[in-house]
Amino acid sequence: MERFDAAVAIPGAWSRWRAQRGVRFALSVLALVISSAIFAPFLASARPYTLLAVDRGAYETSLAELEPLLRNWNARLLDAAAAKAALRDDDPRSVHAAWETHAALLREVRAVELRLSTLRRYASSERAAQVPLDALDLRLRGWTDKVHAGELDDLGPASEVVASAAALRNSHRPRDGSSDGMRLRERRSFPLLADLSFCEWLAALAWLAALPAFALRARARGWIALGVLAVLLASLCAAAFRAPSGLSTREVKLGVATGAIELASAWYPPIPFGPDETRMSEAARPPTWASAAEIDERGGYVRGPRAAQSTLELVPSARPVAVLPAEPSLNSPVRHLLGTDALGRDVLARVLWGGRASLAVGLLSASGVLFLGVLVGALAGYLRGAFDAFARALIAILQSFPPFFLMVTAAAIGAERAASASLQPLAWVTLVIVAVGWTGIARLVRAEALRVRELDYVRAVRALGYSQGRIFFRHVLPNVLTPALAAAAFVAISALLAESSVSFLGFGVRLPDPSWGALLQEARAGSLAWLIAAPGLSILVTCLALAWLGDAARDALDPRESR
Amino acid sequence: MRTLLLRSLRACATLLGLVAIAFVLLRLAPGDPAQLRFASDDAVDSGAAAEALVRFRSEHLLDRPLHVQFLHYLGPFDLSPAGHRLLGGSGSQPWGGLLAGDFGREYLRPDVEIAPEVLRRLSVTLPLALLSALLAYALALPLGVWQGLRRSSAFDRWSRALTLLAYCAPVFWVALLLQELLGPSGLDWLPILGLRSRTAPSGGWGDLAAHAVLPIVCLSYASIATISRQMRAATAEIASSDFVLAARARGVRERAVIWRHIVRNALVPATTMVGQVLPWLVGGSVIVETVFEIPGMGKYALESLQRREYDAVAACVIVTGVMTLAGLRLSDVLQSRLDPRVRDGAV
Repeated sequence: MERFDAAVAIPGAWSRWRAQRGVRFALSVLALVISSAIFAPFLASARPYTLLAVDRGAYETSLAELEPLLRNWNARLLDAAAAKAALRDDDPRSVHAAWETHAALLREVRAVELRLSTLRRYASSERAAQVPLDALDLRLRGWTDKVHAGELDDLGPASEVVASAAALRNSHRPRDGSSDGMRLRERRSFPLLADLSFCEWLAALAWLAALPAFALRARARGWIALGVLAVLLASLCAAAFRAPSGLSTREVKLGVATGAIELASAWYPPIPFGPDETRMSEAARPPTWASAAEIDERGGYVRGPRAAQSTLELVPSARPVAVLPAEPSLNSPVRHLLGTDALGRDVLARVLWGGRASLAVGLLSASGVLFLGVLVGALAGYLRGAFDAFARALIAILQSFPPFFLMVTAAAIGAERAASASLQPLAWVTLVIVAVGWTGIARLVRAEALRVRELDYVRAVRALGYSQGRIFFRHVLPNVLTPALAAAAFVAISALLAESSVSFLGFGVRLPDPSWGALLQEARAGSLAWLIAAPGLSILVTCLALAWLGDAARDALDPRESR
Repeated sequence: MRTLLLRSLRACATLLGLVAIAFVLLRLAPGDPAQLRFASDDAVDSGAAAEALVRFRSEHLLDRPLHVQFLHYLGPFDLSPAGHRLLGGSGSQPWGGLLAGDFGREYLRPDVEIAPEVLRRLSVTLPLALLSALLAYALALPLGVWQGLRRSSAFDRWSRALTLLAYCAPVFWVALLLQELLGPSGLDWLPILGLRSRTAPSGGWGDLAAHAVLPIVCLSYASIATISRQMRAATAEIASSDFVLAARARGVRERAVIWRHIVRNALVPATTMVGQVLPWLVGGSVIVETVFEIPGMGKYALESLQRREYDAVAACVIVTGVMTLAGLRLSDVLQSRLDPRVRDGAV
């Protein structure tokens, strides 16, 4: 019986694949690229991992604002009581007014609580300092409960609380230089980690878990790798389809520089620049290891005027460059390894962060294309009949367009509709690439399914009376996977290239969010030579690694063709 | 005869589907043509403008059901009130729609008819694409055959690495690099923008050729990689097949074996690529023409997308689709010329 057993043949191909020259190297390169994308926030961010400091600015603002906020809250309370008195069930307007005042009341409570928690956080741990804050907190808590319960009438005298908040301003004044006042406590915080979203945590942890699994010499390794890949894809999916977490800003560095944050110790990432940290005084600076990038104290280039760097952009005038804490010194070769763009953002940080969008879209849409293509192709080839005719017509129509042209058009035209349906631009581009790109795989798999369904073992299980579903999923589907697996890496390459091309034309990831294609679009607009190399090289290296793996997979899955 | 009829029927159905997809894309666009047409008017709310908007809607059937709109768009009968007399119109404008060669006008520049504009742009894009296709085939076919005949030689390994590199390098990046390297900011060998010098607008063929070098290189290098890879695989497979061995055993001269037995058979899969190369080039022209600022159809499509001239975009989509279908048909014909089995309908 002529039987191609996927359970035997695919592991065999797996070991043949692993044994080929360059596969391990290409795998490591790919792992490195993916790691740098996943860990981009840990590599390049303006926020420190840990910070032991007094946020003096925040403390002082909270202290100053507590009393006015409480006064305001008192006024809102009177409004709410009045609205409640005027409330009649048959008058929708009065109901609305009562609801509004209630919501305003709760907002005010939250504002007060935030200030109070800042005060409690940094105020000295002595009893005398903490007791009045605790008392105020307790009082506030009681009030909040009553507001939630709707008992606005018996809240007690508010003026007393306002007075105690006013007293705080004197007793809790922070020590300033030599004058007496309260000694503030240093507290530890984790600004960078607090900034990460759940998806980012999930992806990072899954990837960390995968690395030892690759080193294991166990049969389970394949399954572990598959599981990690699934978690990774799921978190990418979730990340692409939800709102992006805010990119980090340089608030900590600025705070330290202006003295609003009194620093005890801080631990910054190796590249202490965020991807959207603009600095106009350092705009359009070549890579700092190049001698052309040297800057003097007044902000001018040592070798010639700054204007020589750029032909089309506005000429950045010489301005003293501020070096913030934790940053390499002004003319250190590692300050901006890849230079800065027209807004003074660090290119290395942007390339690292840009890989997140590019790889997410590339990998997600490649798996979408493979899934849809295999499913439709296998079903069409196995079922024949009406479904096959429909699938063939659809494939014929979709393949009668230049695929890239169709992608650009659909990505651009549908972007606004997608945005109004609260889809991320990333997710929309992914959907477009999948919708246009699945036909090639479907054709390959359909041809294979047409062949497999007539093989003896499929006839045998059909004669045995197995159900259609069982025959399809257990016997046909695993055996038509070969062409899809052989083409998988090339599908990923074309998805990656499609995403970056669409972003380059300005219809994919929207600026200022970085992606490799979008970075090249900026490079073209600014005509700064050093902006061109890095994003394109990243795309090239990723695709080369994938192509190498794909060629090896093709050879491993098809023993006939010798190299 | 019957197969011919069937084939043309199928082609018609595919064309219909193509137009339907373009129409769906049009409808996906935010807003409708009436809003886009009057988007530049400041006083949309004033009475006269609102009236004009309503009149435009009814003239262009935007207030009618979707299938009527589609038939109107498809043509050849104009279904609007001014349409053909047989369909209840006044008869002043009997024909319209795609089948009558009418692609509408731009919204914001109503004096620009889309069909002649697209034709004008095509006269720039098509020569570039055809030249690139010729270059790609002229280089890739010998390269692939050579690689396939000398498998595992040093030449094979190095040239394969090069083609892999070309396959993976994104077009827009290569274009930017070449501009930076060979343009005025680098070696200053070649002009990098447009198809004609600004200083000498009628600068003759030499000027045109110098401008066209970089775009043609950028358009063709990826196809060279793909075609030569395919050609190498086909040559390698055929070179190790039994009938080649048998020919050699019969004492056929080596040159005849290569040309008549190997190359001719290896060309068959390469001809199936003819149908695909043209659409790649047209798709690639969007990027290449944008980077090099060439006023071709790709640039027109992109500009229309940016200016929200969705009728023009749909026209470009349909035109490129028709060109792709023509390319596929051409590769069918070529294949049947080269492969008697296809000609006799055995495969």
